[in-house]
Amino acid sequence: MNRRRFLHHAAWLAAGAIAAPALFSSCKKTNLFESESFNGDVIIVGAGITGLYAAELLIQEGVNVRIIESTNRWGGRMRSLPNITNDRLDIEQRTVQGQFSALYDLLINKNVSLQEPPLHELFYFNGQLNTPQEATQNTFFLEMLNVIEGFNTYSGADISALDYYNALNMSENTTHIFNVLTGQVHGTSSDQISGVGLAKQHQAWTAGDKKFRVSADAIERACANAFARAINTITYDTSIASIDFTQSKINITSSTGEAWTCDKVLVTVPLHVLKNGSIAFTPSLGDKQIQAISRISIDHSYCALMKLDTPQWPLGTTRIYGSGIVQCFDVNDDGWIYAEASGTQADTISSIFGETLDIFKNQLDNILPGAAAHVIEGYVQQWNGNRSFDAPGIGNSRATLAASIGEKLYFAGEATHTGGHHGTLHGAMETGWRAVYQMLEKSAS
Amino acid sequence: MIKSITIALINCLWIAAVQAQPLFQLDGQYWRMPAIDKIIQSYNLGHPWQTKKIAPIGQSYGISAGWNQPIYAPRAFQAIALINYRYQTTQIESNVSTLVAGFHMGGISAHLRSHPRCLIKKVQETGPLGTRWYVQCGGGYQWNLPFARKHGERVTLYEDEPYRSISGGWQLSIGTGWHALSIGRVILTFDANAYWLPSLELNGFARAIQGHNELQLSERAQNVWILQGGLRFTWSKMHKNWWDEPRHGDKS
Repeated sequence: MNRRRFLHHAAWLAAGAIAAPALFSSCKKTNLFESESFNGDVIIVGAGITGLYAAELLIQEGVNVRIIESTNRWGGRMRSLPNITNDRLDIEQRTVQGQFSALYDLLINKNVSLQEPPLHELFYFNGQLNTPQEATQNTFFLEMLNVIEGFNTYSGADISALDYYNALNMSENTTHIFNVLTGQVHGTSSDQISGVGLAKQHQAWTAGDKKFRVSADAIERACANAFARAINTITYDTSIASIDFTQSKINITSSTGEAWTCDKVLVTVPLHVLKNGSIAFTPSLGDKQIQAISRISIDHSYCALMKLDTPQWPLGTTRIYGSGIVQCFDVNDDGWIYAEASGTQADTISSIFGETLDIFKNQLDNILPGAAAHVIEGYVQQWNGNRSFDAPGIGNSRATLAASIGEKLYFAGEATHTGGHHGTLHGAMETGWRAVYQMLEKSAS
Repeated sequence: MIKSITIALINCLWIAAVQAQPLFQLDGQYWRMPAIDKIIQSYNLGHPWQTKKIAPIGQSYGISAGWNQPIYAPRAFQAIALINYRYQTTQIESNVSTLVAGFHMGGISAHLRSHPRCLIKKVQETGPLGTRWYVQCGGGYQWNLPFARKHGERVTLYEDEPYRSISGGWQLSIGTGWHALSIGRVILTFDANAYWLPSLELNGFARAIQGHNELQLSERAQNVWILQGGLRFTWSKMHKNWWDEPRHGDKS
C-alpha cells in the first residue's frame, strides 16, 4: 500500500463516516404531529392572544377552527385602552418581558423594534420627588428594596407581601413604592399578593430578564400578520352562554341562542368571566376546577392615559412613583402619562364619587402640583379582571385548571400558566401552545 | 520477595507499554432519541410564523483518543480504553432570529475486542484468521452539557446565569471494525459501533429551547441509540504484533 492509495482510501472512508449520520439525520421529522392527525372541529372561546395563537397553531396542523369573541374586536387584554381613538393607537405602551419567549420571537420576526428603554425614575416620599441617588441615601428606602429583593428566595409563611412588610415594622414612608413593586406590577396591590407566590414566580421564570417597551399597536400589527388565518375565523359580538360536553359532540350556545357543535372546545376567556359564572358548563365543572377558579386571584384595575401640553417633570424621566391611590405614572418627553391602579387602590377609586379621570388628575397633582391643569386629553378604562396573581393559599390551582376535562374541554389563558409566566402576554401564548399540544397529542397517540 | 514482585511488575508494565498501541479516532454519529426530538419539534409547532423549521438533533461528530492493549493472546483479546468528545447541535437562522441548541458530550469507555472466530476457538485452532476483521463490546460513562443560544445570546433559566446543566449516564456498546490498510506503523481502521444509553438526561433543555415547559415534555430520553462510524488511526510501535501480522490465508 503506497501513501497515495492510503490517503485515497482514508478520504473515502472519512467522507462516508461523515455523510452517513447526516443522511440518517435528515430523515428525522421536523413536525411534531402528522398532518391532519386530528380531523375534528375545535371552537375557541375568546379572541385574545391565547385564542388567536392557539387557533393559528391548530390551523397550521390542518384542524378546523372557529373563534367566538364577545366583543367587536380581537386582541383582548393586549391593549389596556381598547376604546382609544384611532389616531392615538400607537401611544399606549406595553411591556414585553423576557427575550427568550415565543412572543419575543414573533415580534422580532415581524420586525417590531424591541429596545430596552433607559430607566430614569423619580420616587415620591417624604413630601418630595427624589432621584434614585437621593432615594438611596434614605435608610428606609434601602430597607424597602432589601425586603423586595428578599422575596426572590422567600419561603416563610404564606401571607401577603404587605403583611410580611408590616411584620418587619418597616417605615410607612415608602410603603406605596413597595406596593407598586410587589403588587401593582402584577395587576394587584401588595396586601393581596402572596410573598411565597412572588418567590415561586421569580424562581420559575425562564423567559429572560430583559424588559422592552413596545406600543400596543405594534404588538397588534405583528399579531394581525402572524395570526391572519386565525383572525379570519372569528365570530364577533357573540357571548357564549353554555357549553354542553356530555355527548361525543360538544354543543355550544350563545346568549342569543346561536348554536354550534364541535369535538373539542378551548376556553380562553379572562378568569373573572369564569369566576362570575357567565358560561354554564354541562356537566358542571368538578369541585377541583371550581375550587381552582376561586383560588386563582384576579383584581380589577383602572388604566388611564393622559396628554399634557408640556411635560411637568424633568425631561428624560420615564417613571414617577407617586403616593395615595395612583402610585405609579409612566411618562415621556412628549407629555404622555400612562397610569394604572389595581387591587385595593382600584377599590378605593370605585368608592369615590366622580369622574375617574379626575381622580387620576388629582393624584397627579399630589406629586406634581399644578400638573393636572396641563392635561389636554385623557382616556380611562376599567378592567374587571386585569391579570391573575398568586394570592396566599393558591396551591396548585393553576395546574388543576390547566388539565383538560375528558379530552374535550380545555382551559388556557395567562391564569392557567403553571410555570411562573402568569399575568404576561407571552405566558398567555404559552398556555395556548400547551392546549394545542394536549389536543393533538391525544389524537396522534 | 518484594523486590522480585516489584521487578516483575515493572517488567509487565514495560511489556504492556511496548505492546500498547496508541490510537486516535474521528467519528460521526446518528442519534435516536425521540424524547429530545420532541422538544425541538414542539418548538416548531409553536413558531408557525417561521418559514424555516429547526431540525431535531440527529447527528454529531466526535474525536476519541486511547490505546489498544493485548490482554489474552490465545483468544486474541485486546482491551481498548477511550476518551471521547462529541458535539451535536442544531440551529435555525433567519434574517432576524436565530436559535442554536445542542449539547457537548464527553466520556470514557473500555472495549474488549477480538476476532469473531477466536470467540469460539483458540487462536491456534482457528486456522487462517483474516485478522483484519474484529468485533468488540464495551461500556462506559458519559457526561452531557446542553446549551442553547437565542438571537446570539446564551439562554438563561434563572436570573442572568447562562443555562448549563451537567448530567451523566452509563452506556453499553457493540461494534465491529476492519483494519483497512496500513502504511508504515500507522494502521487505518474503519470502526462501527452501536451505543445504547439507558437514559440521557438534559435538564432544563425544554425550557431553554421553548422558553417554558408548559407542555410538560420529558427532558430525559430513554433507550437512546447512537450509531457511530469512524476512522481510527492506530500507531503500532511493534512491527510484528501477533494480531496484526499477516498469516497464511489472510486477505491482502
